[in-house]
Amino acid sequence: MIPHKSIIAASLHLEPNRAAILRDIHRAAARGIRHVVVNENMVALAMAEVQSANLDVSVSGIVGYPIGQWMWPAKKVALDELSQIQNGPLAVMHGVGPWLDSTDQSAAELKGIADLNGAVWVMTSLSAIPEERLKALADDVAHCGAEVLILSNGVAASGLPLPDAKQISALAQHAGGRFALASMAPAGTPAETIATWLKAGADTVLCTDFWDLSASASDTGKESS
Amino acid sequence: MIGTYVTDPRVQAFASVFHFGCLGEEKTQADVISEAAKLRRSGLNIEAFDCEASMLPAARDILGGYAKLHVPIAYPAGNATLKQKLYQLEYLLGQGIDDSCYCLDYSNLLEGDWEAVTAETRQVMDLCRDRLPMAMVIQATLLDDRQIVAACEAILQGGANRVKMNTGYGWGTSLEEVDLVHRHFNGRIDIHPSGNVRTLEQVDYFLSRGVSIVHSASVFEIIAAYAQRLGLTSPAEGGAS
Repeated sequence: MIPHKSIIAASLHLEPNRAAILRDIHRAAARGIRHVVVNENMVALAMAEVQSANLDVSVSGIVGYPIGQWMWPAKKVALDELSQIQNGPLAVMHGVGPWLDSTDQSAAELKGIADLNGAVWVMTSLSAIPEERLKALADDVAHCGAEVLILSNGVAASGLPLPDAKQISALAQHAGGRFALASMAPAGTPAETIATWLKAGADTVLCTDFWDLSASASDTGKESS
Repeated sequence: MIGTYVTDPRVQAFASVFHFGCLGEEKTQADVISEAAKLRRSGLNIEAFDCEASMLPAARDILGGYAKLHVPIAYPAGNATLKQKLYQLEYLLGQGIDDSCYCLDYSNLLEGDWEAVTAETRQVMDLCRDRLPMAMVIQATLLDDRQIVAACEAILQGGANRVKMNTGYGWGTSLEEVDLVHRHFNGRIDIHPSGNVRTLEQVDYFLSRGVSIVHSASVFEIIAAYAQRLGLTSPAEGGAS
């Protein structure tokens, strides 16, 4: 079992399922899991459920998921819209391809993120980044003021693997506590694998199977936070 | 090397049905430039090159005037907010791109909310009518036969008549899906197969069903196989690369 405080619930669906999102909102609340992330077009649905059921859950829509290569001005439109709807941190996927190229667009997006008000989470694909660029990634994330860096598993068809414990450990050292690391665990990720990520330096895990892999607050005697 | 068969008008006519591109989270500008340059070197007159909006300047530098540029909206999951999608469309209209596709909100398709599908389509078509050729992506692999037919009806109601069956990127178009739409709509909808199109035999089948646009990452191999069928190359000569 993964402690509920180490889990961000993920209800991200490439095959959209509104019923599953509503279920996950309630499951997160029942487990004492504070944060739930959803696709950006599902924020309104999730928030309506949070409010109608009076649940103590924060909802964030990840703008740009699952590829992150849309233009920053378009992402900003969505972030501005979601900031009026959701109760969780703003979250945006930064395309790893343009970042690896150090394009002007990547720089503009990082600057734009730095200019956002309130807490921001950034997502990108660690597996595509060579070890010698990890410090630069950590510095860029820290400079844009992100509270959390989510390590995306991307889309299965891209062929990108999940970050392994060694990559997470290396990035955690470069992060140096300037931001938290959340490793993404898609459906079917074993609890043992998640445990190795947490041991390696991930602060939390963005977990699809959170219901099966977490212990409830009452089970562990911990308060939800 | 450029295949010698590219000078054959039959090959060029065959090539003209294809879209080829470079899309994906890990794709760098260097990747896009490399693939666009590969296309230009091939000498093949394909219909369009597909890339993300962020890569448009690089693609235009290499291919401007050589091939049409196609940029998808809300690719591949259709899960952007409607406001953001329409912003993307306005941006692309301002960029003067040649062709596009629009990933619908797949949750509306799966939930059978056909009025919402029609309304989303209508908003898109009202913006781009007579300005930009637009195909609506229905991600047919997620849908059953009745949903596919209903989705096509809904986009027709919304004023669109081009349907891209899938986005690729893990979602592929089957022969049966194309048959289904062809059988029900018989020329009223322009069908664009996309995803997992890898062989000449698949393309033969699509063309026999009146398809005029095929998206494929294997375009060079398929065209080489076509040239070989025409007797323009031997198997050992391979394709344009």
